Amino acid sequence: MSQHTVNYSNTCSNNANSFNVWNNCTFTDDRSQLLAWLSPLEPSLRHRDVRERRINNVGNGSCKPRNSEDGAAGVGKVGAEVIAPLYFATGIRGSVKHLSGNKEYSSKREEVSTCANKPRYQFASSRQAM
Amino acid sequence: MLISRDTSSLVVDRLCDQARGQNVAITCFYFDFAARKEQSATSMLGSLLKQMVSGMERVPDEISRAFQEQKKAIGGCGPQLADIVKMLQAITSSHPTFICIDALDECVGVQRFKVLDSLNQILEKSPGTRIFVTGRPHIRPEIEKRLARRAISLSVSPSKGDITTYLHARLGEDETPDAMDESLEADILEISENISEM
Repeated sequence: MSQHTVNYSNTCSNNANSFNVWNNCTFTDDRSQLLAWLSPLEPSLRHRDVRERRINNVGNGSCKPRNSEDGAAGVGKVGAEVIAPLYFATGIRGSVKHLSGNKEYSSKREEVSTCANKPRYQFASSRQAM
Repeated sequence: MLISRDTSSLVVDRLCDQARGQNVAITCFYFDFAARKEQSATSMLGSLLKQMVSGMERVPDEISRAFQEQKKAIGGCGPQLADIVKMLQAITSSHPTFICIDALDECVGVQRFKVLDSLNQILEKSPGTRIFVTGRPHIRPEIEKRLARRAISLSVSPSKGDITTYLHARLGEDETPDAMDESLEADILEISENISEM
């Protein structure tokens, strides 16, 4: 694992293709084969799909954590900022339960989903409640 | 979906913006329950490695050698999980790396344990690596158990405004507008507002 040059900044400099490096560079067949050998999966395409479906100005506040539930030994601090190797982001505890147990929501969803000629609006799936 | 997927992709994009001009590797993976058969720990971690290698001008010698060696086998064979972890350790220990994983709860249990153990091994060798994971609350104990003393949990939830904006936008994209009337739309928005206040 020696003598390799990394230029990740190029990978990420163009947000429209942050992970779509396949389209940014021309690889030899061998390199393409090697990359396909490492994994057949292409999360870059999934990322692009999610980004394209994202609604402008939605979710920006979610990137600001409301509270950290745990302190963890081995977690460092820089100024007032807590630094951890791994951040696990999850929904407010119990919100999924509240949602699924919401009678008004349940009855409305039933009403919508059983309407013969109407699409089923899953306007509040459990994942949304995360 | 509003929070998990969108938050993960926002985090990835922001990291990319901030990493501009620096030699920082940013990788991501989106778990999907519908693709659980394909999304094994080996293929998932292999895809992280693939993203890192894709950003390199030259493929690391160790990876090239392993690739050439497997060609000798009849039909070839994919890299083993342990080999992938070693390769990831080697790269992440020499370069700042961010790994973003969305919806870890949608990964099958056995595979999820392997993913967490592998991430733990990576962090042991390269403490400078930073990992961002989203998932439903029920997997939190697993993370605490397998990444003890390394993980910190954060609670995130959509704001009322986010939900309203999201629903307005999605309802506006309705391809069967005749199926929706103002009353139903108002009901949906009202219920969503009640939910967001919980």
